[in-house]
Amino acid sequence: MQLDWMIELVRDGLRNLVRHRVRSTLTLLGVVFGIASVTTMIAVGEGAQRTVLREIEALGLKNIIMDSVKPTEVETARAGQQTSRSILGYGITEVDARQIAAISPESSVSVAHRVNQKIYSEGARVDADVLGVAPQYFNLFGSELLAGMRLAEMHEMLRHTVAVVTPDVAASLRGIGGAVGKEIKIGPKYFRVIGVMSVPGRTAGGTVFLPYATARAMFGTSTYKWESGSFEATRTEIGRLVVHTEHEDAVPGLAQAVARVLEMNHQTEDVSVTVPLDVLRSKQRTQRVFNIVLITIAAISLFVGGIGIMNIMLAIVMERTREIGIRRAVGARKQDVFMQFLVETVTLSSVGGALGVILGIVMMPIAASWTGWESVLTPWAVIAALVVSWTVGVVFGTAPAIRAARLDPVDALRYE
Amino acid sequence: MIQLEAVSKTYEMAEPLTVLKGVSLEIADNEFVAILGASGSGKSTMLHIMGLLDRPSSGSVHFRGTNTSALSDDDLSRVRGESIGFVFQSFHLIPHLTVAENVELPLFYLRAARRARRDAAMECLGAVQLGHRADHLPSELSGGERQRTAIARSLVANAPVVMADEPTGNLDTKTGDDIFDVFRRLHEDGRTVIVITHDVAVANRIPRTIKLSDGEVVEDTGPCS
Repeated sequence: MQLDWMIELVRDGLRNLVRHRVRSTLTLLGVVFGIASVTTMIAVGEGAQRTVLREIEALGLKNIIMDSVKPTEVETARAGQQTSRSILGYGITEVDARQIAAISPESSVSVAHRVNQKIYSEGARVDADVLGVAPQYFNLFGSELLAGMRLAEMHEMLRHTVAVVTPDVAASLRGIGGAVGKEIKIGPKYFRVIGVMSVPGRTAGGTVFLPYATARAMFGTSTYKWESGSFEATRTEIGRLVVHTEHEDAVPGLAQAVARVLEMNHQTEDVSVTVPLDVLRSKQRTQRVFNIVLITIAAISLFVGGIGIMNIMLAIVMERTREIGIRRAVGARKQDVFMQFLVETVTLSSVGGALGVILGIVMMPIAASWTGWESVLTPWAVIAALVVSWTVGVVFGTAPAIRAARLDPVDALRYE
Repeated sequence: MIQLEAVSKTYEMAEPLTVLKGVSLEIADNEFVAILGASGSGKSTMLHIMGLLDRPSSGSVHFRGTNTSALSDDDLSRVRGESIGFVFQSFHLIPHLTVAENVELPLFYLRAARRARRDAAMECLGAVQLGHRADHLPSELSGGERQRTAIARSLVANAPVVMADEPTGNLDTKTGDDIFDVFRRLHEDGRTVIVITHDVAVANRIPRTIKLSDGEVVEDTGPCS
């Protein structure tokens, strides 16, 4: 019976809403925009969260990634790091690798050798990085074999001239399937493509992977460049070093230890350290700030919308004073009148909420293209938006409903 | 039985205004009573107090054996819904509800099921020859039809007491007579009918007349046997 009664109150509320279409629409605008903001915010926030998580998880939350980077000339001069034969040595060294392996016996340390050579296929230049890696390197990043075969220990031991390429490179070599078996020229040497692997995260994009031992043996650690009449010689022992821990909890402590080793061994900023876990936390902090800003905007909009609804409902109570008197005369209790006006306000705000969710869904692709983040609408987001709209109805409908319930029946009947 | 004992009503204003001054009277079940008085004599205030819409400033009201001063606001609402039907001079129908929905209203607050409400409303509308107007809005009815709708509403919960405040005041003579006949039938059916009027001719057609002047009972023809 109570449910039947509530349904009738909602029906009556909807009827009043339709009866005064223009007034209702204008009253609802604030809530519609507020809820649309909430919906879009949650959807974009969720999408951003997923994108960030995916990107960072691809880097491996249990990994610490070190890359050799060429220091600036000022730093080099300050450190006096030029070797006797004018070869600039920088980046991660074998000593670093040994010391880092020693401080983290439970972790696995994997190295990559960066090859600074141009790539050609059938005479055409292929734009990609070249990295010599051990077979287990791919396990650290959740790589997936798309075609052909992986790099194996055998290639490492026998120093085979084989390569595995990322899908971008494969695409420029006649597609993923067609790339396997093709020959590519790296510097002066020819390599046969044996597989295509997706490598998410930082190394995504155009990369050609060679067996580590092959890369070291064939290209060495030094690079010579003649450009615009100037000559530059550099030497990097290890292009990339990845430390993989067993547990996420171990990452912060190990990252500090690694930083101390690098600080001791290097006078210049020639190693960049990426801790995906830190990056994730930093991105989550940024995301939280973004959410707070959007929540504030949505809250202000909803507050203004709620005030609008309250104003209109107060005016409606005044307008329907005599009706309230009639209802009280025929037996309505104070709480019946209270419920009637509260349900009417909540109905109004819920309709606004539903329209807001629809507008939010329409706004999602716009917001996504504006922020550059994907947006994902979950059922949770829709429920949250509707709950917020009900809450606005309850919060801002209470005062008019109390005013209606408190009206004296005789005064209300006499109201002109 | 409705019993008023030394009922006074004073409105607190800059200058307090006493509208009823120690009124005592008894109305038995199944009486047909006219409360007669000039404008401002306190007759509407007395109807509101007898109808439990208002409380006296002093004195007591016993409604069918219950001292109403002890009842809460909710209790008074319940008693009104179950036992009293009101008919007002300006009909007091809710304009955006249909005729049937207006008639159903007392049952709505008694939490009757929708079907039962509709059936009861149609029966009462049939009794006042308005069954064919059930789905119309009040604005589509004539004055007489509106008042008959209000009477149907006062009957729908089978209330034993019907109180009417100047029920023929806004109607022409012919329609007023028709409405008066409806009240007479309600009385014959066993209901207590109390009609407020300033019209002596109307009062003369009712068995008992209580005359009010300046908030006091100045004449009571007494309970009819």
